[in-house]
Amino acid sequence: MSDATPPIPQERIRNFSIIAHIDHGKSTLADRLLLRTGTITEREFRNQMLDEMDLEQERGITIKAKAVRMIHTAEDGLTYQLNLIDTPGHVDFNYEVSRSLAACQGALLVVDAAQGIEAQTVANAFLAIEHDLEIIPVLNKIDLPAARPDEVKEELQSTFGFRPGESIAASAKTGVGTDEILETVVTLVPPPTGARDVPLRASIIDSHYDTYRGVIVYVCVKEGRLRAGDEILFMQKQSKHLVDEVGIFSPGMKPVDALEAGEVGYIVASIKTIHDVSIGDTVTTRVAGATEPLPGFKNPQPMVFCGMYPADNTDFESLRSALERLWLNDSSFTFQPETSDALGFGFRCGFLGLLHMEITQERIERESGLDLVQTAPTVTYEILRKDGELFKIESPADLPDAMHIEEIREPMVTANLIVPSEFIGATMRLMEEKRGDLQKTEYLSPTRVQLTYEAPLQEIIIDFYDKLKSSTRGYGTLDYQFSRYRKGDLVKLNILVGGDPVDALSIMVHRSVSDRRGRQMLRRLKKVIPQHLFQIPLQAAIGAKVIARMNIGALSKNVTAKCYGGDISRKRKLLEKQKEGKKRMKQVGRVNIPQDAFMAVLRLDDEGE
Amino acid sequence: MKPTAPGLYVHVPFCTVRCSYCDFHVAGYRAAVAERYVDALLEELAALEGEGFRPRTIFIGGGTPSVLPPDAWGRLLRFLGRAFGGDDLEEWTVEANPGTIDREKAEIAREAGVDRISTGAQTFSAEGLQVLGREHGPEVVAGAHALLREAGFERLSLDLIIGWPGQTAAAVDEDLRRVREIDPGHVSLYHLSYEEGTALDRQRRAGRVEPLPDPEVITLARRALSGLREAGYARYEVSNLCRSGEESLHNLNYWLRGGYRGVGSGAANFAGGARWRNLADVGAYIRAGGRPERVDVEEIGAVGALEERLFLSLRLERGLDIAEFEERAGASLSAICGDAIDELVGDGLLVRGTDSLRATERGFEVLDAVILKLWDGCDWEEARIDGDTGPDDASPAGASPRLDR
Repeated sequence: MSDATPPIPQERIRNFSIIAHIDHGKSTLADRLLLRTGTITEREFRNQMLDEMDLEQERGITIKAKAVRMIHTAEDGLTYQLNLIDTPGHVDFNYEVSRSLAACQGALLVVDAAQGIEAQTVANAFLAIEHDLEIIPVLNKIDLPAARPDEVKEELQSTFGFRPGESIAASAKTGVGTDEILETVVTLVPPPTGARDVPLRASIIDSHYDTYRGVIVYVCVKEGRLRAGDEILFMQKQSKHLVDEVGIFSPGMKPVDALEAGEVGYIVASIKTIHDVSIGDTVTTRVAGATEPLPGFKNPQPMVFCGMYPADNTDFESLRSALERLWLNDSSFTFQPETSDALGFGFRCGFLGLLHMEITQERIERESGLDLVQTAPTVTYEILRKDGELFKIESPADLPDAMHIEEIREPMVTANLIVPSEFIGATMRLMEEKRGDLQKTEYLSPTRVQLTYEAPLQEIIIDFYDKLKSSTRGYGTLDYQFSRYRKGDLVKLNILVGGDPVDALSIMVHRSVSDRRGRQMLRRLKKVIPQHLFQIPLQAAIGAKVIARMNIGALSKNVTAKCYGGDISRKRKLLEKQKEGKKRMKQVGRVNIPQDAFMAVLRLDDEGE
Repeated sequence: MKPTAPGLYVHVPFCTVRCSYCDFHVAGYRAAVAERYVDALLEELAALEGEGFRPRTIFIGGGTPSVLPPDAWGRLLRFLGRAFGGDDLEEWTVEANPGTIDREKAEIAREAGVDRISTGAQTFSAEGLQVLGREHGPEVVAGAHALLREAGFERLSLDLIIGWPGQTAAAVDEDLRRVREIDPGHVSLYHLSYEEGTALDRQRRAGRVEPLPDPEVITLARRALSGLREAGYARYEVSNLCRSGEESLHNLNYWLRGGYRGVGSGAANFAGGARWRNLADVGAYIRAGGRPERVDVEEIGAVGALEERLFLSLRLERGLDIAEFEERAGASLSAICGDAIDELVGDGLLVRGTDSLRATERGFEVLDAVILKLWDGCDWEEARIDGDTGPDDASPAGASPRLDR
């Protein structure tokens, strides 16, 4: 099999991606471009539009549209090869975004003409600028009655310096502006450079696991040429593979004879696990290969950890295989067994960020059908022991005894918040509560402000998005990036239920907020733990010192008065059902704690304070 | 044939109005349907009589049995009296709603052999009766009791509901005053519950009625309980009190895990190690001509029998007879659920004597949770199961609880 289209010279290749804040219409625009270039049919386009809300479908599109090749005849009458390279839309996948952008020479910066610039718009745009890409601003959803193109153009100018005339007004939904976008890509985005007759250097931009074919590796060929039958070397991993097939996405997988410098496509090489493939690694040939890898490789480290336990302890092995299946498709997710007094046997799982964690959990629950209990997410802390040893902990349970600790350092992030100016006060109060230090205030337009903070990651991963949304009536957006580890006055807050410490409820907090946190957690627990036959004391403690206490009163009434004849059967069924329900709770001492309590304590609302 | 089921329950599912809290199997009353229903009842009863079944207690419940027209009422009661009214019969109760019993029906009942009438007063507060969706006014109950006494009934029972929305301590006191005035031998004191599908529950969900908080219900229940005790009533079951010797033998048989047969649409049965129900469908019952479909048939099994015994007997003031239980279980109570018992005793919810395991005053208030805890803490591995799963014969079938006292 071979590519049916005639070879297109390198100067007529355009590699570009679409970057946008979530929901600004990135995937619809991508589909619109695929439709306009005849890469997908009208019917496929409609189906995708319709199913956009479905996560599975979205995932399908993402895989398919990861690096789609489109053939387009421009106004100059020449045929161009346009490679649209998808980027993950979220900051958790910052590194993956930057690897994808490294394969491009241009980017469409899509901004919702009604919403304007949001935090991820800024983050992604600056990433593109760092990569020296030609950026083409697109005002999407121009057909919306609420569109305010002139103001958004002003925001684009004040934030990035784009002149109003540079933006393309478009509607991915109706197709307005599509031709102009394609034409602008052809005229403004430079072709890739890179010689074809030199040793191969290709950058791995992504991969996915296929049950039948093993790992499908997505590559951007920077220099040289990649062919089926080549023996290749992954330069960081130092692993060797024989290429069974190379191909392109258009949008389905389509084998081609070769991928040339400047082209984007895939490799199938009987690679068993995704962990043999590192994003950002350089592919070369084993024989007569390149000596220097491409720059910029990094091993992304999980930043956010939580415990995941099967609600029913007998499901431990099922959870393990569910995690293993997921791991096949996600190289940045880690897991290892851990034990909790309260929750039994489970796993400590690591994620790139909060969104990554949420997506992963949702996927495990959905794909395995398991009922999961999840503990409070925590970040990695750096511990400097008195004896000089420096190490990281992924769980508050691993914190050494206080007497051995010289200092605890917590990961800090640079957080960019974009909010309507009327909410500056509310946002600043929120950030103060979250221990943020304001570093910069910038007006994007008279009505929208970008606030830059340094804040502890721990504060951002717990209960932050919801609070930001409620402080800004839904308009505030956030983007953050790890900056450094910083020494902090951090303590481990233990929660005691019925006098027994519950390891799975321990959290690390800053001493200054420990009292308030403690009270909030107890209030939450009081709400979610049902009344028992006895009073349950709840305590929050730092070391041996109790800093907050509260009681769950004993059950006052629980009696079925009538229990006549037939009710005996009914009564028994009721008892059996309750017994089943109890089985799903976690027992600590004499107290049964519902599984959602372990997560619920994190929604630290301030009700009643 | 040897009778194995000493209780007979007859279900009359008709009501003129459904009470707001009621989730029983009930149908709207229409005279013609009621007549045909009684025809079917008589066929089912005749079949039972043919089996040689002879109950020691009869209980006609509903619904509202007293809503039956005099003719159907007469046919049913006379048939029962003729078929089952022999020397074996120790107690025959009919439920009657205060507004639907009259002199004629009372006399028919008396003549047929009925010796006990249970009336649903629920409360004497006009406001309470309205919330509960009861048709009768507060004055009717006393009149009905007077009428029943005149007709010669000595054994009268009255139901009260505690904890209805808006109930106050004063309303409880008023109910107590009326009870003392009417002076029935037996009082049932039920906590109001909001059962799914009832009008009251819908009103609660819609925010039109506000349930009393549990602690308030308990305060009122304690007030009612102590008032009744002062008036000479003693509790013998979690929600039943009586003067000396006035226990409902029929209901006591349920708690003692005695067998019983149920006749009528939706009636429950327990005989020969199995529990089942007649299909709850008045139309189907009539069409089946007294041979209703059995549904929810359940073999209890040896462990199930012990579990039932445990939870049923704890409803009784006298509690669980430990020696008897251990004999049936073939293991000691401590081996089966000693830890749970110790915990519950420690929390002041159970008392363990040498002979019995009983709920405390506080234990009765949270009895469902106590039972759940106990049930959950049982380890039946310890028990020697001998396969005896039928009704326990220490019920009124064996030694009469009347003599027991």
